[in-house]
Amino acid sequence: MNDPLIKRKTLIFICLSMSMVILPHLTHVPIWSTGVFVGLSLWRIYGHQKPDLLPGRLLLILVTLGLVGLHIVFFGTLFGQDVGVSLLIVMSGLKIMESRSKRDSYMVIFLGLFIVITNFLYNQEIILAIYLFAALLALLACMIELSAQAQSPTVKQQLKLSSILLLQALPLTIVLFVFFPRVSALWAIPGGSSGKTGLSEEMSPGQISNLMQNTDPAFRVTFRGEIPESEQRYWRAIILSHYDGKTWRPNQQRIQSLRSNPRRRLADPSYYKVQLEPHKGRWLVGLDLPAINPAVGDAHADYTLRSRNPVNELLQYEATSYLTYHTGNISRIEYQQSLQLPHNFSPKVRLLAKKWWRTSKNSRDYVDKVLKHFNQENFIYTLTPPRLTGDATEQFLFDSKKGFCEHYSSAFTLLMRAAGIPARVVTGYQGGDFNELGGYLIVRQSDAHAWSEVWLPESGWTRVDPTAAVAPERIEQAINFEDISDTGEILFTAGELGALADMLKQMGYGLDAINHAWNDWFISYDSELQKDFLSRFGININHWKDLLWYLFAGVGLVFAFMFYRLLNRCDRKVAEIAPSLRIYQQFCAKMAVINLSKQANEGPSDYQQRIIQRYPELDISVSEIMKLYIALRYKSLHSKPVLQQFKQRVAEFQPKKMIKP
Amino acid sequence: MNEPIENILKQVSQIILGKDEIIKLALTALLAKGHILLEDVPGVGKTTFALTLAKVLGLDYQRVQFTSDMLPADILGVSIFNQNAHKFEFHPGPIFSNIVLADEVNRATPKAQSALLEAMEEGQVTLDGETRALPDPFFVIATQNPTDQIGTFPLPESQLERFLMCLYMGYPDSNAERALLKGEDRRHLLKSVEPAVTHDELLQLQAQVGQIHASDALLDYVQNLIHFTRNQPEFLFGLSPRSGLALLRAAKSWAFIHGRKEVLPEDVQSVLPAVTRHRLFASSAGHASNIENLPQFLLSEVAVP
Repeated sequence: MNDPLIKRKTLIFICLSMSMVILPHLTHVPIWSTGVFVGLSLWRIYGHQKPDLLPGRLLLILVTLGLVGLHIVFFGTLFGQDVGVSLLIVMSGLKIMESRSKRDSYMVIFLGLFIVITNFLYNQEIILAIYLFAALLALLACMIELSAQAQSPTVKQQLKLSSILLLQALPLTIVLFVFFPRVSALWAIPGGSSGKTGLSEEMSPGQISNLMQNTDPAFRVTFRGEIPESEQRYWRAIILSHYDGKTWRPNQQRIQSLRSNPRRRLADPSYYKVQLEPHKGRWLVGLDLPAINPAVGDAHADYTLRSRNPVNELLQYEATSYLTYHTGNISRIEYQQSLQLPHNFSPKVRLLAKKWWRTSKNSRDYVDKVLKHFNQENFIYTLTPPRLTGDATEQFLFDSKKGFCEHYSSAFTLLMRAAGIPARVVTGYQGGDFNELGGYLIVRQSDAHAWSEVWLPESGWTRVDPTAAVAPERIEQAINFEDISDTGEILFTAGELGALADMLKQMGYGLDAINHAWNDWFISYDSELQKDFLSRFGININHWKDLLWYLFAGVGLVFAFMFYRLLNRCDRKVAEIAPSLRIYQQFCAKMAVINLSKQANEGPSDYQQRIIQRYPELDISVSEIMKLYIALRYKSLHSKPVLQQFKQRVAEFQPKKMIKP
Repeated sequence: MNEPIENILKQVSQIILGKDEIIKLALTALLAKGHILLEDVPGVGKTTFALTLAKVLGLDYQRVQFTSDMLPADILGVSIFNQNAHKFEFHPGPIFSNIVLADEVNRATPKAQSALLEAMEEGQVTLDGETRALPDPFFVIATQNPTDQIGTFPLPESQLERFLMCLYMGYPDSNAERALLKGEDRRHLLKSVEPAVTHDELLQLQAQVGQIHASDALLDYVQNLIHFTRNQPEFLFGLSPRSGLALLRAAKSWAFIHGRKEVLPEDVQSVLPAVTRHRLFASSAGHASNIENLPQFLLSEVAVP
């Protein structure tokens, strides 16, 4: 291979661009993986001047095998998202180490382009997209630098050219984006081990409080009408009705259709669209009480919504909720499930429940009694409650009296059950901030909440939030975590935020609105939206295979347009070419056959001399042809007969036969 | 080749040995009514060259040695009051001759330089409110020392452009050197040289150069060359329209010397290095600094249409 070696500057460019691409992966792969990449790149750059310092082929192979082994040891497998990305990064470092020629460097850049895509497996926010766009520009600039001849263009020119290239790719990108079939089953991402966590499917103390430290968005909601009051915005996600003494879990037999209970009465509908961030579980959120089947999932008898597939990607769905509801009778199974108590249930708590129950007129009265107890006894809401040993409920109720929503809802539900009132724990989110810029409600992980639901004969399933009994302010607004003192006690002041903080908050809303729009327009563009969008243009898609026709037609159209443009450009050139020049080009082509092609910057008389010097036997015919050509082209002789003569001479000219071997 | 031209070249090359290309280019410039900038170290025969040209062409010759204390009057001439006649009499300076050898132009101050350069451009001199035409033909051969020497005033680009060509004399090759060492003193030999053309014939030759045909195809080529210098980052700035005209004029003259009535791309290529050498500057940005020879780079990159 006589491929030229790459220049040091080019090498540094490539290493920098690759680092740009790899940077967002820092949090996804082990630190040694990126460390290996950086180390290898630096070694390669350093070794450019001192090739003796570069490793030999054997050493490289050993290092490669060693690194693969390291991956197997560290990850336990070679298959999967994280290990794949880590391997890609390490291998691209090795490829840089190995690259001597242009061809190798192209390989590195192709690897980089692939790594660009892998970034989207972890995060699809617009910030990342913009950043990776810049990285893509850098990679393209590297390609331009590589393919430049002796005179490499300036960085500015390279970036300009790569921007033009990307712009030219835009029509094709749009066609592919709009028409490419979104068949999720074909390329669903198997859930990686990392990623964002959401609400857990079970509840043991401490789980939600961890979530509450996290201000990442959980989901965003756009209402079609008025937005319900904050007190009414209980977003139910999971019903937990089985308690084993430590952990609340959903009941296994809950997969029943909502229609199984025909006696419910609903009013005050609210229509909204939810954009749910991925959380890897199957639960969907719905305002109390969601009532229709969203397209993506099912509604269950416990009035929760469940997705058919794990929510690994941003999910958008529409739902309707009824703010006023009466669920009617309780089913037998539900009744049994809602009275379940662990077999080693604390007798002390049972006794307390009995005592209260005896003095209560009815269930409602009993509920009020318990809430009053939470309110008037010295119960404290804190995110760092003391560690409970032994029976958690008993300790919480009688000793520590410190806890947060999990403790309160759990204790409340158990007190209900001990008195024979069907009750269950509901987890989900409560409240949310309204983003005025985007016109939607944003609910964060820190809005995660747990409350209780009791079944009362007069009102059916009724929501009771025991935490509200302790600290009613908790319902009014979200906790400002800067206000948490070191002891973890939350000061429920409104928080006199300065103007700066206010501005920052506004900016945060602005950024989030951009993200929301990005999600709305691009990320959530799935098969449903695709169908919807295309139907607006009169294109009806019944099966994804229908899309292929449109896809091919669209791509074909783009290519046809590009081809037309190119052809047009060639055409213009052909039109400009004088007939004499075209004939001269034929002559040059004939000479090229005998390995004496015209140099681009060679005039006719120089060329003639070169030909005659090489093949004196061609003197007469070549001289005559040249004389005619010069006359036509440089003496501006406009004579048809001369042109004819020139054409004929060139046609007759057979250098291959005339030259002596 | 034209007979008088052939005659001139033959005569000059008898005195100036082994420099046929330079002689041809100098004659090209002269017939194109342009001036020459000779850049070279002393002693390579610049003066002899100028003298020979003057003699062969039957022209008169003056030499001006530029110094830092020189004044414009030293070049252009001065009016002196004549006591007897009671009026001013103009004493023409050395510039009033057909061939002027301006030695070491960049030794003089810009004031003196511009006096010469203005005269070159206008073909006339205005002194004391009176305009005096310079003789025709008027041909300046200026020499320049390497500009990094002490005590030089480099000519600005705008004035450099007034020279049609910039030539390097260069050392003679070994054959020519040997012949030079063996033979008679050149200045002595010069006495035996006869004018090859008359004054009128020379003016006629100059007129004929203007009639050489440049086809559209050729103009395309010239334009491509100019555009290339304007669009590529290697060049600090592109060739000016004046430079384009100079290139075409020189190419026509070159074609004429070679006995053709039309300009070929080769003519442009032959004169281009001399015509653009002092007009093209490498830009400091980009990678131009490693281009040794900008004119050659230009020629190698632009295709003949």
